[in-house]
Amino acid sequence: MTVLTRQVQRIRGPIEIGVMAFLREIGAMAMFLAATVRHIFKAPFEVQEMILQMYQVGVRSVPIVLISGFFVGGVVVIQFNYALSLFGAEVYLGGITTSGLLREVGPVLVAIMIVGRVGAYITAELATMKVTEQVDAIRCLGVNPVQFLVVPRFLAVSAMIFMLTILGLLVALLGGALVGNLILDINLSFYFANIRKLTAAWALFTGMLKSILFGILLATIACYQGMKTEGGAEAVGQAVNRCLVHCSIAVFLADYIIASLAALTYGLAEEIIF
Amino acid sequence: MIELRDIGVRFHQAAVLRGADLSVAEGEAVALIGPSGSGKTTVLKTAVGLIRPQAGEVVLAGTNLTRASPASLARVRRQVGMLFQGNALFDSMTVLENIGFVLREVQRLAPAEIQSRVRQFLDRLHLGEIGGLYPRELSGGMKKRVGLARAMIGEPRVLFCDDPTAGLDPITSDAIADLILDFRRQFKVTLLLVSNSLLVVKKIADRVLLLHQGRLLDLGAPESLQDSERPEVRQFLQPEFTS
Repeated sequence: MTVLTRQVQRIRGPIEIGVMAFLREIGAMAMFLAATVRHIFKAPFEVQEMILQMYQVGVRSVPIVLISGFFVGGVVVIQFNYALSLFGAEVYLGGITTSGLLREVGPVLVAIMIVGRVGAYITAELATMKVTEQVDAIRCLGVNPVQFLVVPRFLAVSAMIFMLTILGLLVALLGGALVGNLILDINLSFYFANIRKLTAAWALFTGMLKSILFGILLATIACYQGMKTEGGAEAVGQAVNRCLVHCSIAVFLADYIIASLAALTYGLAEEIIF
Repeated sequence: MIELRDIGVRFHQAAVLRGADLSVAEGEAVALIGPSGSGKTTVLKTAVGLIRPQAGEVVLAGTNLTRASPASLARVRRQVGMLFQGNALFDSMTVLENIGFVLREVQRLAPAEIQSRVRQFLDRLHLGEIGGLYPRELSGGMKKRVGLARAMIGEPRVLFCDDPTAGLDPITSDAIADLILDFRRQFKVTLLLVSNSLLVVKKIADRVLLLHQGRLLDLGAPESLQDSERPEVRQFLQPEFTS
């Protein structure tokens, strides 16, 4: 047996274990999502709990979405203006900024902000309920914890990320226009003139599709990490940490996959749909 | 009413229960004693279906929990009340919402009726006007009473109590034991109790089981505990007698 073969065998074990653990985690999460979706259509539907969660997730996230959305719009305009001015193409600033915000920056930015604020909150809440036996207490009282705890949070996060993305995009566009006008001295009518030309409806569709997918991913990961927590306070912290890391990776990975598919089908979709 | 047959439970590689058998008749009160970490809570959680054993069968109120569907498991649990060691009160709900949870979520009663029934329970537990408080605002004894009220308000046929007097002073412990006894008599509830307080066990239980090395040993009536010649019983009770 050569040294190389021995080395390969030595590292093969941990890699195999890691890959298997990863696949098991993905499988468990998919089953958790399937169980959650199944329970959405089962009575009773926890309307009160869902409204409460929509408030926690949506309404309380509005300030952070407004502030960051405005400044991101401004930053994108400044950066694009610099690049376009090198080619004397400032005329396209409004169109390119809007297209970029709709397709990429808006949905990803809102999703990442929600991960930090809402994902961590949901995971910590559910994980604490799990380690303090509150989830067991719900079960003992004859209530299904997935139906009572997970479904309202899942629906609230999925719906509110979509709405917050729309809000974030509007504010980012406004921020971009205002920064362009007040700081870069770009005429507003000049700025808006090219938006329709350069921003295809497909870009809006892609952005909205992303925000729906991100919402489902974040809600699933946050609830799953919370509900699978075992142990004490340390386990709660670890669950929150895992939620943030997994959500961020999931958002960027999903963004890449959708962007690639959208690029492939862009022309075709423009012809068929619009 | 409660039957555990040849139960085996392992956590990771450690065997906690090894062929544990238990049978509690309807209306009977059985206390489970044993050293800390011996698996008493595991027995309780297995009996209520919160832990699925790797071996053996659990039958609760005529339903085999090891083979039950989630729906029938939920149905059986509606006949069960459980008082957790750490109370497991819902942090985000008031005392009133905690106690009324089962009336609202399972029995779907009207808010006015829930209020009135919860208030009756609060009065009975001498808890007065604490309905609007959150669990974090309660003392240990109050939390225990609220936990007991939440477990009992649905008028279950079986009550599981996990160390109901843990961390309480002797007077409060005695009051909690009296409450459990009172509920037992009034609702004719079958009771499985985990406790290492011999005073509580003697007050409430008809029969005592000792959890020793993953198996349940039937020790008979609590009054006969002190006369037991079994070495594992003597070993467990020694500190109690010497004190």
